[in-house]
Parts: sequence; C-alpha cells; structure tokens
Amino acid sequence: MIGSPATRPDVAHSAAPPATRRRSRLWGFGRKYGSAVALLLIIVVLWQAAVRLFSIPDYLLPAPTEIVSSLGDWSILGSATWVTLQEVVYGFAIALVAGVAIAVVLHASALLRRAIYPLLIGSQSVPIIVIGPILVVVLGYNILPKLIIVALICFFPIVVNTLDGLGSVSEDYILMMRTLDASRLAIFRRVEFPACLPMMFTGIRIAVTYAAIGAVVGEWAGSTNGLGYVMLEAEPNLQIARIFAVIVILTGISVVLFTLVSIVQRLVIPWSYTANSRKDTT
Amino acid sequence: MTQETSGPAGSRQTSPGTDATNSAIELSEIRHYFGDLLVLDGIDLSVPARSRVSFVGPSGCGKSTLLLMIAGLLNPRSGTITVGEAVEPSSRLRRCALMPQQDLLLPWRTALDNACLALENRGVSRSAARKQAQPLFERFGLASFEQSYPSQLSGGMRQRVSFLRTLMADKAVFLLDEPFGALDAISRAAMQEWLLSAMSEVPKTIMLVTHDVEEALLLANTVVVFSSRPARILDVIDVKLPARENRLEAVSDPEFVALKHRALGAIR
Repeated sequence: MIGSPATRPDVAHSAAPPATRRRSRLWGFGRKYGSAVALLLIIVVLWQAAVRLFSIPDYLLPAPTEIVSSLGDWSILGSATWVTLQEVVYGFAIALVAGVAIAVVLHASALLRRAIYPLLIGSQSVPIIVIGPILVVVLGYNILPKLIIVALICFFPIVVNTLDGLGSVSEDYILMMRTLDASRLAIFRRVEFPACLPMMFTGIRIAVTYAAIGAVVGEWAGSTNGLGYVMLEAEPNLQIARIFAVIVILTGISVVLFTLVSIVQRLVIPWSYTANSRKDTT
Repeated sequence: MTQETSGPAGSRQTSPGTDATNSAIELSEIRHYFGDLLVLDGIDLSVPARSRVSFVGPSGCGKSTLLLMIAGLLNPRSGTITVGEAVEPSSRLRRCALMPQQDLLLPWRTALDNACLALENRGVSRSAARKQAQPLFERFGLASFEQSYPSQLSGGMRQRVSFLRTLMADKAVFLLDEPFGALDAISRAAMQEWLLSAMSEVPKTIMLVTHDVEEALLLANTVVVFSSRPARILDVIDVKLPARENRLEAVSDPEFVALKHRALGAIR
C-alpha cells in the first residue's frame, strides 16, 4: 500500500522501522474495517449497476454517482450541515448532562426512583414527531425546539445505562468501603461512579447515534435551515439525489461522533479494556 | 458459658486492659436468624486486646456472619457485642477493619492507590496518602508493584494489596474473612507464611475466619471451633506451640497434629 517498498524504494531502505510500523498499522486498520468497507463497496456497485441496467429514473432511485455529484452542492449543503451539526452537538451535550444528573439523583433516592422511573419509561412511548410542532409553536423557529427534541431522544439510553451501572456495584464493595471509613459520598465518588462508567459509555454510544435523527425530526417540525430543511425542500422538487446526499452527511456525522465517543471512552476508562479485552465493539 | 481465652495464649500480647486504644472484644448471648432459620445460637466469647483468634467451622455455619456483626456491618437479632467500649454498630465500625474474602480491589486504581482508599476516605489528599502507603509496599513484599493495576497481579499479590489496604485503615481490630479462600493450595501456603510474619508486625486484635483447621492453628494463638448451623462454640483451643522455621515444620509438629485432631474431632 502507501508505504510499500515497491513504490517508495528510498524510504524502504533508509527508514525501515517506521515504514513497517506504518504498514502494520494500516494492516490493523484494514483488518478491522476492511470487511465493512468491502461490503459497502459491493452494495454501491450493485446499486449503480441495477440503476443503469433497469434504467431506474432519478426521482425513484438515484445512482450513487448522482448522489456523489449532488454532494458537490456545498453552497446549500455546507451551511445546512453546520446548522444541523450544532443542533446535534448541543442537544446531545444537554442530554448527556441531564441524563447523568437524573441517573445520579434516581440512584441516590429510592423514593424518587420509584416515583420518576416509571414516568421516564412511559415518556419514551410519546411520539416525538407529535411533540415537535408543539415545541415550535411555543418556542419559535429557532434552535431551541431542536435542542429539546435531540435531548429528549438521547437522554433515555444514558439514564438507563448509567442507573444500571451505578446499581451494579456488588454489596461487598460497599461493605468494604464502609469498614474503610467511607461516607455515602465517598462510596459514590470512589466506587459507584467509576464502576458505572463502562455502562454509561454504552448508553452514550447508543444515544449519540440517535442525535442526528433527533435534529432532523426537529427541523421537520419547523425550521429555516439545516439538513432536515434541505430534505423537505428537495422532496417536492423531486431532487431525490439531494435527499440521499443529506442521508450520507447525516450518516457521516453519526459515525464521526460515535468514533469520537469511543476514543474518549478509551482515554477515560483504559482499565475496562485491560479487564475485558475481548470486547472489541469500537 | 463464657469462654475465657487468657492465660498462656496471651504470651505474645502486652498486658491486656492497660492498652490505651482498648480493643478487647466481648460477645454475649449472640443469637441470629436468616428469616426463620437460626444461624447463631447463643455465642459467648471474650477476646482480650491484641490477641490473635481464629474462627474455624464448617462452611456456611455463620462464622463470617459473626465477623460482619463484630465489624458493625450487621446487627444480631439479640445479644450484645462490645469492641473496646463501643457497643453501637457505628462506633464498632470505627474500630474495626475488615479484609474480605475476595480481594475487592478497585480495577481502576493502581495497587498503591487501592491501599490509599482509607486515608482518602478520611480526607487525606491522594499525594499525602501515597507517601504514607509507599513504605508499606517495601515492608510487605510488594516493592515495585505499586503502579500495577489489579488485573496485572496474581491472586496472592492482590490479597497482599488487600491486606495493606485494610492495614492502612489503622483500626484497633483487624478482621479477616477467609482471606485465602479464593487461592489455590500452593499460593495459600505461601500466603499463610507471609501473613504470619506480617501479623507479627501489627500489634492489633486480629480475628480470622477460615474453614481450614490447619490455617486456623497456624495463624492464631486461640482457635474457636464452631459447630455447623446453627453455630455454637464447640471448643476453644489455646495454641502454644514453639516458633518454627517454616510452615512445613510447624504443621508436622506432633503437638500441632494433636491440636488439629482435637479441633476436627470437636467439629465431627
């Protein structure tokens, strides 16, 4: 590949160790994501072939090449992507802070847990699509309703996983800490909270993939810019390729955010990887 | 029936009662149930300060439960427990440190930082706590393992760190709940020798729960033999054996073997 001796004989001779290291890293990357990339390529090629072969019109299913050329309309897509990205990131940040805070409060008080937890679970069956327009009527065509919708969609997996993680600490650890003069707060800080981090990150990784959907739903409820707005504009004009281009961008946002969360997870809780190194989901 | 464990058994202890941080333990008429099931049936025992006592009995007889009660983590249905002057569970908890059966080390803390837990819980800064814990690693055969994470240590090593963590709590009473129950026979024997020398440096009242009669005789100067559930005290054995070079010599001593027979006979 890039650092192979055949194409770069000068480098290969004088700096063998870095070149081999780079090559092995590429090899590792290839082994990890190669099959996913290959599958994606196969799908794209079949898709392209099918569209050409059966002469499927653009407004029904655009060819991948059409979608790629549609991605070039950066004057429209660029600012829309920026608007949606802000909604996704800020909304997700609100969900993260609120979700962890709610989980901590519910963990600390059995009374509140009994009172609030069933309502939280019930809240998940309320269709966000219905709430969206109401929020827009109340709050206006600004970023606020979008943030609330993104946060509403994202906070639940964070709360559930964090709460489960906080409760997963075995009683033996609590007793051990009590004989070491730990207060309730010390047990939380030094045992329960660190112990819940792996599960909390599982919740965060689920939540972050919902964030982009939340932003689009928010924009459909009422907006003047953003990727969801671009989709709404494109549909009556039968610019289906542009809709697919938006989907590609939304997918890209989700993948990038998911990867960022995974990197942060590895930095924050390296011990959880040394303990169960077989779990390789990132 | 109050069992007195004074006399020659206390040869290694400084005269009990004159100790400023009195750590004598009194159990009187301890009775406890799990639901309707009687587990402790009238336990009376008096342990002088700074003695070393082991509880031995069949698995599941309730001896670990008794240890949790002494520590103040559990209250008996009836009867009183006194540790020094402390009667209330919370004040007993302040005088007792418990080393659990599993090491229960926190996987996100290094060995050194695990040992610092008690000090940090009391508000000592982590750097100050590390300075205090560091010398103990040298003293107890853990030098150069300070920065290792629990997942990088063997079972025996983890138990040593667990012992240090309990020691750092600096309590008058040291309770060990089957500390080597999770280890294989070979590391168990090595850890018994290690603990014997470690305990000789710790002038505290030490109570150790085990289901291994040999371990009980080896590590304590008084062995309390419990019956199977509901637990009653069957025998209190004073162990006064001459000091031996190593574990193998100690356990093959005829007197040791005789005491072992006596304990096993009582359980049967």
